[in-house]
Amino acid sequence: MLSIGLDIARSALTASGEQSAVVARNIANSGSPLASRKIANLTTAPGGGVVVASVTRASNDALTKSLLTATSSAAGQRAVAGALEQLEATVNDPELNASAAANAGTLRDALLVLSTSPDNISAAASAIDAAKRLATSLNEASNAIQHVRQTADAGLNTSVNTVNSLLAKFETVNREIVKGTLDGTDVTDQLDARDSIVRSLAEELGIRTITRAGNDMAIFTDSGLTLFDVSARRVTMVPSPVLTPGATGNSVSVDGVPVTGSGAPMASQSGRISGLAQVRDTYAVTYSRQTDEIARGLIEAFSEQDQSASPSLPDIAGLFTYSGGPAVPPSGITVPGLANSISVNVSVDPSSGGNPRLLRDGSIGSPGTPAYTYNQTGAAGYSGRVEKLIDSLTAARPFDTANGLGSPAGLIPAAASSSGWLENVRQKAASDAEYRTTLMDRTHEALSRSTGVSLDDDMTSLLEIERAYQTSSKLLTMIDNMFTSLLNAT
Amino acid sequence: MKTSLFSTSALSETTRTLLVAAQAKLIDAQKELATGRHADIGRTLGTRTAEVISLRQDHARLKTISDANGLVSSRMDTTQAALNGLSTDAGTFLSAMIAARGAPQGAAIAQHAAQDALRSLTSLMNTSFDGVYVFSGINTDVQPVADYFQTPPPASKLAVDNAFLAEFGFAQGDPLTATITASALQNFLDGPFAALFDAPNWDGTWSGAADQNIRSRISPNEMIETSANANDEPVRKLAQAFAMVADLGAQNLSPEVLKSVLDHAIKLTAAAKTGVSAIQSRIGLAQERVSKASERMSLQSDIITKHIGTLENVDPAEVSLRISALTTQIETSYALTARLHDLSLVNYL
Repeated sequence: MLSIGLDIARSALTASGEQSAVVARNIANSGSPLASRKIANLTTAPGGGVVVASVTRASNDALTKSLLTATSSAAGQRAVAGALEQLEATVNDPELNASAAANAGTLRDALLVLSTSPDNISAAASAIDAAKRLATSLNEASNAIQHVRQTADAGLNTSVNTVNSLLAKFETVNREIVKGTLDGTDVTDQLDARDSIVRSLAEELGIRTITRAGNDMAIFTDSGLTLFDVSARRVTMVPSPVLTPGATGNSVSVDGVPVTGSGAPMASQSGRISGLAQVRDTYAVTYSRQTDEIARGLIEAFSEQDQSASPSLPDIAGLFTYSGGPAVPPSGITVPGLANSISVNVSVDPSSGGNPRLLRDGSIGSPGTPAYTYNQTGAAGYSGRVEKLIDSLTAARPFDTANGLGSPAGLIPAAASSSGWLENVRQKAASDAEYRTTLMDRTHEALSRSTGVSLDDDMTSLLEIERAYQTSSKLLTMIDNMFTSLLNAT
Repeated sequence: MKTSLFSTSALSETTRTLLVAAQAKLIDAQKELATGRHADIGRTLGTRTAEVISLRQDHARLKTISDANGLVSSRMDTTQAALNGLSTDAGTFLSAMIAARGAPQGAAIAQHAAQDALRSLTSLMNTSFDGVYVFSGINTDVQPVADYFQTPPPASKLAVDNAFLAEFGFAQGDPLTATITASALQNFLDGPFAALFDAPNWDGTWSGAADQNIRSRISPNEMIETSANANDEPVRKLAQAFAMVADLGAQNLSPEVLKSVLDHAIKLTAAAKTGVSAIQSRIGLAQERVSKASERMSLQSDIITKHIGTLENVDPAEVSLRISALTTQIETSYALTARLHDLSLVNYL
């Protein structure tokens, strides 16, 4: 009988050793927020001893799933909010008067000054200067928008590559887990690794996971496409080296089925890929169209008409022209890229050797053509043309109704409402991102509390294990003593 | 099996995220306290940013027009001063003519007074302000009236000479002028001479001004004429009266004929003087409209400023309260972090 006691005490010592190893693992991981608590499960061995039957980990399926959803949503909204923050530089603090509307207002005020002293060359030059600032601000806005779209396109490509490499890693880890589970070995570390891969994946793309028999996991996009089932599916996108205004970027496809872009039947709803696609294909495009439309309105407002008794010549671009000038673009139809190419006509720009007085006299688009000359008598104090320009800058004109600018509307109110639109979507995206991030933090905290390592808890377990070890050792000594006395007795 | 919902990393993570959030809010609040405006106007106002931008443009426009109105007012003050001068000249001329009618040396006195008056009219009509001839209409860079007595003689002088020569067959300085009868001269004064001062002839010979007056925008939707013109009828009539006495050979005319010329001049001048007053009152009305418009715009401007304020500004008292609350929160958080750090079972084993 004594040898049975000896065996049991020995098994207890071994179990204590294994238990303390698990505690050590927990303590080592206590700083890592994503590590789960490992538990050594003891069972009674045949013959009365104790063995560590398995090592499992603390997990919470429901919280893990909500964390995935929260992570995807937060990442998507953050991508949108970040991009809109970049676009907001085109509006900035209203006090700085940096928006297109503010610059158009400055031009109108310069024209007002010019109308009071039409012969004042410096008033004319400062009006030209204001016009150039306005054109430049539109060029800059257009560049900023294209930059944001290009960045989003590059970001999509990076995300797609990340997703593919994560899926490859996932495949390896998942296979190890399935095999380990079958063999009954400790796979808790691999499970942690797999969870962390899935969480990274969720940042890029909205996903759902299903765990099947044998710890095998399958991943689907939030729209229901298979991303991983036994093997990884390819996620693809062809990046565009140059995204010109009006050009559409290529969509992201999972296994050949598009998940972004207009009309994608299985479009992804969350994750960075969805957020970046929204920026590239919706927000930046709308803002770009609005900016182009304002540029078109400007060219139209400052265009010159045939002043002959019986007008026969077409309208031509005046103070503001563009790459397709001198023809005036048709009214009420957005011309993509106009904001990028709008400029002040060189014939009126003193820094290019032009004559700023043409602003008073007309015929900027075609200097010297009498048909487009408004100041027929050449009077120095002629303010009729400048007054007309002020009027047409404020008058309501048709805008492309697809852009949400309001039509008909004055140029300055239209430009202001474009800024208002941007600030509105930015406000929504920013507060949404904030809310989603908070939600993610809370879910993360809840998950960490239910599955994470608590130092104090593990220290207490360690004390218990130590006590058990001491007792077992004592038991061994006592049995040894008993053996000794038995041997001595004979 | 563990049942408590607690993990070491969750504890530090929670305090960390709370601290970061509170510090970010503190930075915004400090900025708000310093500027008195929302830290991020666009983020706070959203779609109403459009309203702020529009209001700021309206404000700038009112300021620009107000500033321009200052210039317009000064120009009209200058115009008024010149018109006053013109009116005084007409009065002086009238009394000189009345005196000359009965005086033995009447012709010389009258001629002298008329020459002075004509010179003065020329210089008054050529008044300029800020590089702009105020009586030139929109031909602001053209001197409206040339000096009648300059050499070589201007178009106005030549036209009078030619008309006289065509009517009587000799020049004004010729002694033969003494032979001109009262009725012959009267015919000339009413006919060819008066025609020289009719609008179409005046424009080419006497005046370089454009008929179109300067129109100024005195408020966002109000445009009015803000200049008097050298082509106005009273100016033409005065020039006619002055030239009649100054340069139709008055020194040689018989006393009877001279008297009829002076009478004619007196009649014209008296009528023109009333006309000048009419112009003065027209400009006066314009001045009043400008000052009314400026007043109105300054009121509007105040209202807009106030409205921008309600949209953009923060309540300083509320911000200070927020700052002190945040500071307290952060301090408590620091103290708590330090305490929690000490609070580990390891320290007590």
